[in-house]
Amino acid sequence: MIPDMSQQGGGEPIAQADSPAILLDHVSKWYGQVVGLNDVSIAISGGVTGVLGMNGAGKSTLFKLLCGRIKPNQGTLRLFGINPWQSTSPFSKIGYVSESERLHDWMTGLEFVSTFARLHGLSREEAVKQSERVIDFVGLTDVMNKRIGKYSKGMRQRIKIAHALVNDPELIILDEPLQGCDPLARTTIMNVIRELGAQGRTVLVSSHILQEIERITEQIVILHRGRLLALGNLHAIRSMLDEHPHSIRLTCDNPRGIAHALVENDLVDGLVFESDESLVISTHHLGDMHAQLPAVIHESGVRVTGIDNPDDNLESILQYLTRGDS
Amino acid sequence: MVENVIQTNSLTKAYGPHIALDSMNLKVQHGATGLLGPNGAGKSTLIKTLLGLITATDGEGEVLGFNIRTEGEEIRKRIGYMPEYDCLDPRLSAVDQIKYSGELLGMNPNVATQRAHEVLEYVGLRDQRYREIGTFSTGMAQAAKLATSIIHDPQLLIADEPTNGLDTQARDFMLGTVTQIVQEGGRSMLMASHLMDDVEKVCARIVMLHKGKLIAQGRIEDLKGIDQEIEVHAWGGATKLEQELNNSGLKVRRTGRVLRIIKDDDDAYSTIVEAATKTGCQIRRMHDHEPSLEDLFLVIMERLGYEVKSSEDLLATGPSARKVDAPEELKG
Amino acid sequence: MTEDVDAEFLGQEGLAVTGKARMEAAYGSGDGDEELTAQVAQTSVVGGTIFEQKYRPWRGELNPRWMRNWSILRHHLLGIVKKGHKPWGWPMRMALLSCFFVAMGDLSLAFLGTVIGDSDIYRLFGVSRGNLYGHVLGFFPRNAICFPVITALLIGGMISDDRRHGTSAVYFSRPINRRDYTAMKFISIAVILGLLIVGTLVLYYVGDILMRGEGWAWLIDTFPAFLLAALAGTILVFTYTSIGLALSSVSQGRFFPAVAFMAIILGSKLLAFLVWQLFERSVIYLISPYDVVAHIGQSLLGLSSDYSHPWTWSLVSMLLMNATALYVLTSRIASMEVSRE
Repeated sequence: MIPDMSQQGGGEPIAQADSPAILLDHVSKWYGQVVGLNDVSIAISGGVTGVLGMNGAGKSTLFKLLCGRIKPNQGTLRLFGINPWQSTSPFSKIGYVSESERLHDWMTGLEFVSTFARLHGLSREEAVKQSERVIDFVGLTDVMNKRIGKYSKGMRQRIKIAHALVNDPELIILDEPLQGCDPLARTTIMNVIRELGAQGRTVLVSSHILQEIERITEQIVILHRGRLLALGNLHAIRSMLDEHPHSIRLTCDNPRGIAHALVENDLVDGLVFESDESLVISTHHLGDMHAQLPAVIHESGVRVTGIDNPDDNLESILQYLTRGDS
Repeated sequence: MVENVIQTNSLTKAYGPHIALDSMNLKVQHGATGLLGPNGAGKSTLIKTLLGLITATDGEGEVLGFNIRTEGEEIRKRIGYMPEYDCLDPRLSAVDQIKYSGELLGMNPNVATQRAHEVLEYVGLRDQRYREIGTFSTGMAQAAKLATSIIHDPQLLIADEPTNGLDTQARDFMLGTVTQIVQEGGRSMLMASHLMDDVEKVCARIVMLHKGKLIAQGRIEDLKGIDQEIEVHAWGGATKLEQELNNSGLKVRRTGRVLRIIKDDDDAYSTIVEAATKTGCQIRRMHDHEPSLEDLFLVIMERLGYEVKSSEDLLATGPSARKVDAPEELKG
Repeated sequence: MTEDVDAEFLGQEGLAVTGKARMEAAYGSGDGDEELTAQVAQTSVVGGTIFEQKYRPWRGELNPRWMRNWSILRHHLLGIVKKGHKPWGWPMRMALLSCFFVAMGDLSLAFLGTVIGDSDIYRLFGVSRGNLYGHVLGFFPRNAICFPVITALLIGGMISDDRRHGTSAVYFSRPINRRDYTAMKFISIAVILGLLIVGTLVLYYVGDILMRGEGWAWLIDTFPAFLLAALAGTILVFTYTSIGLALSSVSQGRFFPAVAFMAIILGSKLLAFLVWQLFERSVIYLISPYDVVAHIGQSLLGLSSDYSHPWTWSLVSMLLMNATALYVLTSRIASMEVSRE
């Protein structure tokens, strides 16, 4: 039976079998001489995960594999424990929003979503009921009886998301869902995605725009030239990039005062006076450094107006990991 | 006195009952300006009217000093237009296509050839310029589009979603290139984009449309209000920190590990650090929160009556749940 | 410290938009208490290239309108023989070449007759009023196959390609107005067709003169007929071009205009032919562009007419067809968007 999607609050994970939603085990896929994916192993279950990589990194190959449109040359791929190439049963639990811009312009929003609901096996009445629910979820109730051809870009994106949600999927894959949307629609869709993750569903989002991914989730998968470069929480990934010491930038009116307090500290690798008002601390132990920092600042008596980790973001991580490669 | 690159006076364009541009009094100055607005606001209609391709129903306008009604040809000699959609023949090579676009402007074929090579090198396509456009990736195609629009070194470049579909590297390059055109070349640019980060990076001023009306224009800095909030990212005990800050008399709002504290006076910073020391909480980030261009956009839209749904709105059962998103609300 | 606030909101000067900015937190950010896990692969660093980007201004002069229009013509015409211009494609070029040979058939056979010394063949294919007419308006094989097919191939993507690839944005964001755009496209097709139909006529006439070795008197006798045949050929070129280009402006694909053109030319002729056979009425030939022009050609050259209705009717029909086609063409171009929306 289809669970009630309108739960207040959230965080109750939807009961699923022991298998993770997505499991790739040493999966490789090549097209003649061109490598799509090379020995990739990933397990994802629950929450929102961002999939990053430059054009050609293997994102579309990954998505096609997940949809069962192609099969791996090597390795095993399982969705909820089932091989999508051999069986279509996982697809009743999956919603996919593709990058393509073409939609059924002649249908109204409601018709579009309920058609897909019926394709999933719902009866006519159930289909309309569920469709109205998901359409409300994405905020398009006002326009659900208008033709999709008349929708703005943001609305089209949202109705695509709605149709992927109508079968109450446990796994949702979104390929560039924010493309072409104005900030209003973007913020709404980001809220929707976060909400789906908080409900315990597994959501995979790919986007070119790192700042947007950062706002949606901290769990990421980074692909580069078909290989898996990194997987996990972005802060944890950053702290694992050992060869790049972390920087902590302090903005204050007396940087020397703080430097004085830190100069003996074992955790500090280096201190740089970036300007009259800022000090950059270099350290290999970010967590430990931050644990001590408030006390150090407080004792020094210097008024610090800004603390920042300049390179603890997706862009820097990507840069460090893919440096020099084009 | 700054001469306006674009200036309109009650510019109106109506398609029957549908008013695409509504009495617009636009003033775009020299330099880079962002053109913002939700989908359907009239941005493309405005661009076409400025290019002299659509005749306005009413009102006047001037681009680079030329009248848009009568001197469209002169305008188009001095403008470069980079459309949102593909505009190049995939069967021709980049250099041939761009050379042709130069000839269409009236350049001599020799001059056009030379400029085509120059401009393709400038946009980073030197090694690929002999290849057919159909073989280009999205990033390269966008660069080629840019090349088409700057072959004649126009005084004003109108770019419609220039970073559409580009990955980070290509995006940075594109934005860097257009910024260089404006700054080093001393040219002006009108950039229509949905990506507020891009606009903020490149443009100092913006113009915002909605339903054919001009709702905001000016320097980005001047349009933003000063929120006087301090944003703190707390690790390892945000709840305790919030508690402690409340006890110290500061007003706090929080989502997950992000806190925003109202800055009454400059002592707030020390109070925060002291609270962190007391609770043993790490402060990974602390800075004066400056609203971004996107925040500005959303605030303007909300002022006009459009709400962004918060997660709670989206979870409510009936379709009638339609609260205004009050940002002070605490989310779970 | 008061600064000049340069901002305007809803038409009011100096008004800045203020408001509490929204808060968001990424999924997974929690309280920072949980154990953060991650895996990172070993990477290899590859050296990069140095690329210097320097802005180069251009202070050149732009040529006037005729030069811009000429560039459009060049693009379309040179594309047939050279790379780097409008890519016509090999099927088109092959077809053009074959039709060229077919069109020169009469001259070749006349030449053959001269070489062999067979005066019958020569008389059959040499210049005469009938043969001049036949060169441009003979039905089979020229007007049944060659000329319609070449026209169809020429007009196929002429305007629809610009729509499909979006290159109309490139044209119209330049100082090229729509009339010039249409005119140049029209002229380029007309030139190619004209070379095929009337150009070969000239070759035929001149070639025959050279072969004949006759004097000036013969020239004076036949020159008017030659001119009139050239005129008839030009009318054919013009009519085919306007109908064809109108069709190309209507559709977005390449296939439709080409097929539609063939259907109109041959279909209307077929229909009229059937009616003629069954009901002995030739009036229906007025809907067939080919027959209309052929009729005019016949009367110009004083040949006996196949049609039982007066040639003035055909003249009117031809003018109407051209007018309609040009009207459709100009209105479609006028409404053509600069970019796809």
